[in-house]
Amino acid sequence: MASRVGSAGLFSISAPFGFLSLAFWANRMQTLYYLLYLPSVLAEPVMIGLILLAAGCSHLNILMIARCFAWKETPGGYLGIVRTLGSAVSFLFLLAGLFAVLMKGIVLMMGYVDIVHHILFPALHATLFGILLLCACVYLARLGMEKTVRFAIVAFVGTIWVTFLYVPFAFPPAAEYRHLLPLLPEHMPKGDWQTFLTIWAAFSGPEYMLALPKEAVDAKKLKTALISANAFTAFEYIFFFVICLTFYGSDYLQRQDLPIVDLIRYIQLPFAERLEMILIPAYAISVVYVVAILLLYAAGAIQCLARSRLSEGRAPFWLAFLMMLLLTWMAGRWIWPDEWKAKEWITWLSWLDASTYTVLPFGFFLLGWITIRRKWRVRHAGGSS
Amino acid sequence: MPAARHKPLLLLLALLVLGGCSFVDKTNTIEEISPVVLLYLDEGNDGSVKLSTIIPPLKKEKKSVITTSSNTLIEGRYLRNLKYYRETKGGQIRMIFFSEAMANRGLTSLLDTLLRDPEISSRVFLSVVRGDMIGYLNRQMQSGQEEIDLYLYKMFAHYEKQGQLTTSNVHEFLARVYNPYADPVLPYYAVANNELRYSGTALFRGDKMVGKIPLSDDVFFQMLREKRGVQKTVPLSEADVVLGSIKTERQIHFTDSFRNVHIDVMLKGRVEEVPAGQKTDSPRELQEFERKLERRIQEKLEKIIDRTQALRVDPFGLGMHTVGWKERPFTREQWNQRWPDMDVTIHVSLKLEHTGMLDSHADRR
Amino acid sequence: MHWIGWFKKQDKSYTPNEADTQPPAGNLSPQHVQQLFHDIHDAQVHELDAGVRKVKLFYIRSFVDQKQVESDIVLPLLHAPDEQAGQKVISEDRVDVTTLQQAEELILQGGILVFDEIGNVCAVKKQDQLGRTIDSSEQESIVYGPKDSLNERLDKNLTLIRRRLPVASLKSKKWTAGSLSKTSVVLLYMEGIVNPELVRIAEMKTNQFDFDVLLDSSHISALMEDHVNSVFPQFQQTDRPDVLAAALASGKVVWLVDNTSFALVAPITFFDLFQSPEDYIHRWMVGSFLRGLRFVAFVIALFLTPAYVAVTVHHYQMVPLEMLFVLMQSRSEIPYPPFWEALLMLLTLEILKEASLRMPTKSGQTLGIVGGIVIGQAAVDAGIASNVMVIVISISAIASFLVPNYLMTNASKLLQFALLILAAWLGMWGIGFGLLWLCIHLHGLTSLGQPYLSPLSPFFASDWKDTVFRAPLSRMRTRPAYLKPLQRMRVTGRKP
Repeated sequence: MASRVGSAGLFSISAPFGFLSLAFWANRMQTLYYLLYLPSVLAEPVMIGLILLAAGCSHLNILMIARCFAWKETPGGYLGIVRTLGSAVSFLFLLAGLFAVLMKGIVLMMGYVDIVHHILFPALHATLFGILLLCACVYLARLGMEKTVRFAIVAFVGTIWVTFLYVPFAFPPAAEYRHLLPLLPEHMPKGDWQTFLTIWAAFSGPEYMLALPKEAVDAKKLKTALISANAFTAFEYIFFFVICLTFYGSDYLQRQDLPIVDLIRYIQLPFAERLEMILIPAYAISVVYVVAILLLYAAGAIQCLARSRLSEGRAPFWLAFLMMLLLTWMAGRWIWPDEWKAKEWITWLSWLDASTYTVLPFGFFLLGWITIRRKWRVRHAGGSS
Repeated sequence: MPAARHKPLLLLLALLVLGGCSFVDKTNTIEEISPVVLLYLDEGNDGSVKLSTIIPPLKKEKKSVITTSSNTLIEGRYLRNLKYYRETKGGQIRMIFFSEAMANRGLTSLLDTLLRDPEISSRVFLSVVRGDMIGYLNRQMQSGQEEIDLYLYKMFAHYEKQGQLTTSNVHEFLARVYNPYADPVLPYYAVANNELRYSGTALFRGDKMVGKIPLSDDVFFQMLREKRGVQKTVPLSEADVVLGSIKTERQIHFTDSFRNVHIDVMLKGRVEEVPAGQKTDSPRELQEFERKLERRIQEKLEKIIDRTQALRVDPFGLGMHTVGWKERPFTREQWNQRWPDMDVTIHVSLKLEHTGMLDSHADRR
Repeated sequence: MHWIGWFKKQDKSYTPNEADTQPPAGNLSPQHVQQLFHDIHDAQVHELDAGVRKVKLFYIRSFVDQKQVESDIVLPLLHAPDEQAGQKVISEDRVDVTTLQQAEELILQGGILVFDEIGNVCAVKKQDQLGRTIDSSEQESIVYGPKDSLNERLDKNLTLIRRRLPVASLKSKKWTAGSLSKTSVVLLYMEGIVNPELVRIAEMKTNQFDFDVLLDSSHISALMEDHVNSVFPQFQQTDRPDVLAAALASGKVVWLVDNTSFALVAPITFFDLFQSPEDYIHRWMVGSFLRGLRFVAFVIALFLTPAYVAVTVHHYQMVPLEMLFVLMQSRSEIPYPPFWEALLMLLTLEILKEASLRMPTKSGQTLGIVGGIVIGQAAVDAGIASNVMVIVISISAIASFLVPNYLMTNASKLLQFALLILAAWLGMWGIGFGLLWLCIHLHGLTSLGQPYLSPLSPFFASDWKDTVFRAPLSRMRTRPAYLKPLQRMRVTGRKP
């Protein structure tokens, strides 16, 4: 039964996560920020095919991730595999992981904060929102990994209703279906690397689940959850892309920064207009959820890095929080005021996401497979002699 | 956990330090601001922009039109705020009227300025107006129509819902400006005899106004503009006939490798007024009557198409119909060149309904 | 640990007050008893000569009917021929007493202590007849359905529940809590249905009270709560025996507290606060509608006033033009900003409400009329408050009363003030942030160790049939899954 808040360890887990927690977690990780500006990056109707292609590749990745959890032979899950690489490599790995997690958290949050700053409160300092959000993240993350992950359902329910506001855009007169043509490519899409990178990065997120301890995950449930999450993500991307495309047309869509937000400003209800004022705050719940999980990951990395010195109590957690606070402040002071620098960082985030999503599932799959082969060979050799 | 107890204090401190100065914020408290509802943009003498609006909007106070002239919109807003004791805000702009001179000059740069301001919605009604708009507004306010901005907005919103007259907002306009296969249109209003009267549709090539469809042809222009529509009254003055509640449907297909375009217009509706002596007793007579009207309508439509081709504008978005599942046969430039020379075949079919009334009508006569 | 808990200093270790906890010194003798009861004006010592031996009676006069003493004790003793007088007292309520503490307790509960000379001590416990009859519930009144309610007598309350659940698997355990108040607390649960882990936690929590006076079940719930720094009630308080029986049967535990007409139910969820017994009396569609209405009303009560402030202070763009016209007209004459307007009006309303609650019923009504209509109208006329504001405030006040749980109604007021400040500061984003904070808070809450926000998070699909809407009774075949009951099914399957 659930323990009192704060008394148990941050990372103690009492029962495996449910289907919905895992699925919504993966979905929120994938769609959080990319959903907002993916349509204007894609712009051409042919790109629907690319989304499907990326979803397919992501599906393969998910099968690999689920496989890693299904193996009984690999000991200790994630950390166990990392430790087989030797202490120096694992130290570097954890350090890189800490960097990746902090960067992802900060860029995601500041990206959202920038929207708030730009659209809702141009007169207020953007860092203020970052710090407020971080406080909410800590408030959530202090409950520990298990409860934080379970917040997925609230985060999902808290934001998914927004989708229904977009449904009228799927029908004429708002939608001009002729903008969807030509649907099939006349020639190979010339789209630069950046576009495909962004689409691929937009599906990243499930690789973070590799770090879960084995007792937290039922491999079969994880597989179905991730597959459905992936399918839902692909659906969401296509849905939002299609309504943006039919509403704006591809030439106009390319000129939009945040088509999803601009789209909702077009809605006029009899009692309220400019619904972005409601939509943007509602989106905070997903941001806080994802950043809180990343915060816990950072805390976990610090705990592993510091081993004996800091593993007691919640010191790593607070250290991770302070690091994030500092980084938020720095980002708000030096990076985000300059639009080009901010865009650069967002590009780097897509690079990071794309590379982690390519390398991690495959790497772990390979490592696990090698471990099993080696064990099997040892056993086989022992049996024959 | 001794460490855990001090951290929140630090956190709170950081929050207060960073957020404390932000407590004093520029708010939009509604009694302190003056949300502009209507803008009128005219060209000044030396190429500047003359920006006019009604001040104060949305209040039961004495109102007047104030005008500033400047080189840019934003500068105009700044100057306006210096003139008036409440800060004017753009978040509730609902209508922008452009003078014809302004529309001829091109609107994109102005509209992009508007769109870049996240405060302003893209649902702002746009229209071109000819005549002394400022004088009209001033006279309206003097004669007791103080909420003229609100009335005008309600009128536009009503027209938008009805879909019989041209209406357009910033989004629709810009979406067509950037669309390679379509050209935007705006409603064309004229001030005459202290009235603001709808008098046709302004045609744009790119973002510049190049011509207009007069009011007499506007109904037929609407038939070509949308795939489906309803026209409440279609006057055919040459034939002394008024048709009513006409459902229109338009179909477009290209033949002869995009050298020829067929436009089928199907109309279905009632006859409201017939000339005296018109016989519609037998099905044959009725058919003849229909054919006669079809020819009339077809002539009108052909005239409109000729006009748009002469002006080299495509307000119907015909080019969008050239795009297929796999191919995009024209680029923007290619289409702009092809359209004026394209052979257009128009076919109108009219089906009159409830002709029984017509019969008894004729019998009595 | 709770967020605010971090700011508090740790409890100073304290030395328990000796007088509170120590049992009275000395062995059981008439002298000691007399000493114990010195300076109590109505403590009575009665000596009588019962044949050969002398017998002493101790009791408190205000508890005990003199005539009863005569008829039940004195007469039998006088008529008893000889020795062992104490044992011959004719009464079925006789208890043997061995310690001084026991003697004190019994006397103070209305007993009569009987000493005979050879040292036998016994007490005759007389039931005091104080207490109300069974009335209908005023706090949770319903139009249809059973009308009886608990009152201040523990034994009667137990009877009311046992009449509804006449099975031996309804277990009851008794504790005495409070070093001065000696309040009886009874824990009830259904063996074989309730999860034993819940009972274990409940027993543990009931065991650890250390307080002097526990006068009400809410005091006890305050000592048992998982989260002290939360505005949300973690125990349901009810005086309806039918609600208690339903809770017991679904696998919850119930505390009955002596001298209180309110019992405690736990664990509860956030959604339980919106349930009323009447939901189950209506047709299921009507019941679902009413329940949905309560959620909507809760949202209105929380957010309407903050949203008004957010719109008028920050987001004038959000209002349709015609509406903005009305708002600007009504705001134009008000001398202070919307936030202060809302705060003042809300405070006035709360003061009015509190005042009319503390008044006798009739003057309370007058107060409501004077406050609501006269002050509201006059404030608008004088230009102190805008008429839209008055409408907004009154709608949200009325909406707040739709929440059946009285504790929740008042808690929502506090939340409303917090949201109001956020709305004035950061507009809609502030409200969203407050809501986000609220969601995280609710997500972290537990009631008796069970998640407060279930069946939403953690998600239990089968429990949704009785949360925001209510499924037909025939479809509610399972007990709530978040309680992890030993028997999932409500239906036995024996009848066709």
